[in-house]
Amino acid sequence: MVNRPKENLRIVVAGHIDHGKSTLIGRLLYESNCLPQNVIEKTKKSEALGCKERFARVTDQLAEEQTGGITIDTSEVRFKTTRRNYTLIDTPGHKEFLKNMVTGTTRADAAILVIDASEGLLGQSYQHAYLIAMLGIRQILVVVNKMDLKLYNRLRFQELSEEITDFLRKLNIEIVAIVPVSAQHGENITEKSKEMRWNTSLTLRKSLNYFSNHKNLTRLPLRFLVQCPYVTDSKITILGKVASGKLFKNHQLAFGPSRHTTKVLSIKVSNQKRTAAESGQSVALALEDATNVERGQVGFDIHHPPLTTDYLIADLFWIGTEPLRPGGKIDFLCGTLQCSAQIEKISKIIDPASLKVTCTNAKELTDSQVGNVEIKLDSPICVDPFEKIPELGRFAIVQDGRIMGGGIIK
Amino acid sequence: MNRLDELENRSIYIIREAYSHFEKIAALWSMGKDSTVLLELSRKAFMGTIPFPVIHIDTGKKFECMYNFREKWTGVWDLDLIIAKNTSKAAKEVSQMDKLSCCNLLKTEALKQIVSQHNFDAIMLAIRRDEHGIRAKERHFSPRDKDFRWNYEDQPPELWDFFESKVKQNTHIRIHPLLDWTELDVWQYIKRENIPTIGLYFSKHGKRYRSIGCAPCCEPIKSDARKIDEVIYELENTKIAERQGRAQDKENAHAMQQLRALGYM
Repeated sequence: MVNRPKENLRIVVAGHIDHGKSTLIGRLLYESNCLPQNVIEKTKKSEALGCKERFARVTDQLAEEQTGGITIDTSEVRFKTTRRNYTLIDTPGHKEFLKNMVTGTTRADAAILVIDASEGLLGQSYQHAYLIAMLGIRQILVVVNKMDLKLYNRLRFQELSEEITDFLRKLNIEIVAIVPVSAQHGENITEKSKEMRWNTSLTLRKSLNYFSNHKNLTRLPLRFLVQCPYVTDSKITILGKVASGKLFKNHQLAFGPSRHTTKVLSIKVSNQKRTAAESGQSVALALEDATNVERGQVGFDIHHPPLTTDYLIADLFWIGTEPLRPGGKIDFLCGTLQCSAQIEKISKIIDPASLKVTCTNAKELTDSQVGNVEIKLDSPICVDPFEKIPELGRFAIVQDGRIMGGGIIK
Repeated sequence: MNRLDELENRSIYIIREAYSHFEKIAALWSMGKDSTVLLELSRKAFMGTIPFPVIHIDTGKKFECMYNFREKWTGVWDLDLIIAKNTSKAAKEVSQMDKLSCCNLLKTEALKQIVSQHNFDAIMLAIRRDEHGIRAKERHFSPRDKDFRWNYEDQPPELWDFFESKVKQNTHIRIHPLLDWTELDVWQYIKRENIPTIGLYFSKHGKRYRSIGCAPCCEPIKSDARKIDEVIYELENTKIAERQGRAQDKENAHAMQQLRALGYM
């Protein structure tokens, strides 16, 4: 019997350096029987040698990562339970590698925040949690790891849980569970811990079921991103992606920012003719008049248009080696559009730990800082507030051909 | 959409992004299952005909049936096929005993030659994260320097569907549209879409190949899976890694990292 493909949930695993993210993932895969035999053998061998990093090596495969004992770049591993398939995205906790952490986070539906029971919340615990919330992830599971270092003490867990809850509540993110574990010793990962009989919550693996499936964007207003007009036999086909909503054959489609409208004559999905296409689908459209349709434009229903504007207020994180300064020229990417823009003002810089504004009207935003900015575009473009339509409410900033920052439109 | 639909649609999106961003682009085709799926997705992305060349890196040591497969489907799919072969003296004399040098000369060097000859600024490859721990760290758009080196310690960020696509002179970008697929996804998709595959993947006399490359460096695994359904069933229940039969992965713990740092796929 061949099973039907199951739902897949993508989870980013974040937290401060050395709080045990990679070890947790390795242990979870090991106990869930999701590792290939050669990796199991390797893990067992290093266990016999008393190697502390044995489980971390499941995701940390670069030679540099294994000798240094830290994760440098993200890694994705797959893991399954009877209910669902998961992709776990391991990210580096070192602040130098924040760009890799952000890369992993933008591809996730949910997050796990790992916190060391003895160290508690530290720099990157706050920073990662802040970014996870800012980048639009709405559900988080907190793992209080290394409970063995605190002798599986119930009071320590409770005290830390309260602190974490207080902080995350302010970020407007749902805590699906807080789970005490020891990844190193395999306590409360897939089996109820004998060391923590006081713990009433489920094991880590069972707690993953608390996450809801990723959101379906089909019910939102239509946004069609034009990738390129494609000419064959002197006919123009518009290739692109339905980012949200639904697209129908014979309906009128408006293209922004110019707002010219035309009729959809035919729709192909996966090179098959269809009468409609929905969010997430890559399509090929034949239009009554495709002459003015270009890459970067957005297709929509004229009754539910996006904003057309050349001025934006946004939350921004910066991962550039050079600081971002007001007046600086940038390339702005949104949907499939790329256009020139300028940072008008860095209105605020925010400290992720205290959530307080540390600077207003700032002269610069440096590497790893988050803030609120005003952006002036060289010409009007189509956008949506992130809260309304995520796909058209997020952007990246490019300088000298490199992605240096990203953000969400307020 | 189910998982296969999601993977298919996102891969087509990435292929079209690559096509929109780069003037000189080509796809690598080894006739293996993954790159044949890449061709299928590229055909779907452009209404049945692939608008860029397809490169076969021919080491001269492939299985006979792979060459037959190549001839047949190049014709049926009307491919613009480029055969890349390193014909240098060093390549002819390389000893297969030294796997690293052999792979490097016959594959990586052949690719280097063809890329510089045609000035390609982007190459599409069908690697997947679940094949190898090193490949798990890849990006969808992954830059290579002029010597084809992969700077894995400083990879560009990828935010949502925004990819870095500026190419400096004499460098190229590797595009990985199948990065998120697993081996099982590939087989389920092959079944669903009825994609042709090489017979070596199916069991004969109790053995089949799970991963196919050069004949001298591939070992078959024990298997009774004679049909796609049986392969899928086997993969759903196996504990053996896909590339366990590939010699290059066994050399030493970091052979793959060394090969990839030199420009390997």
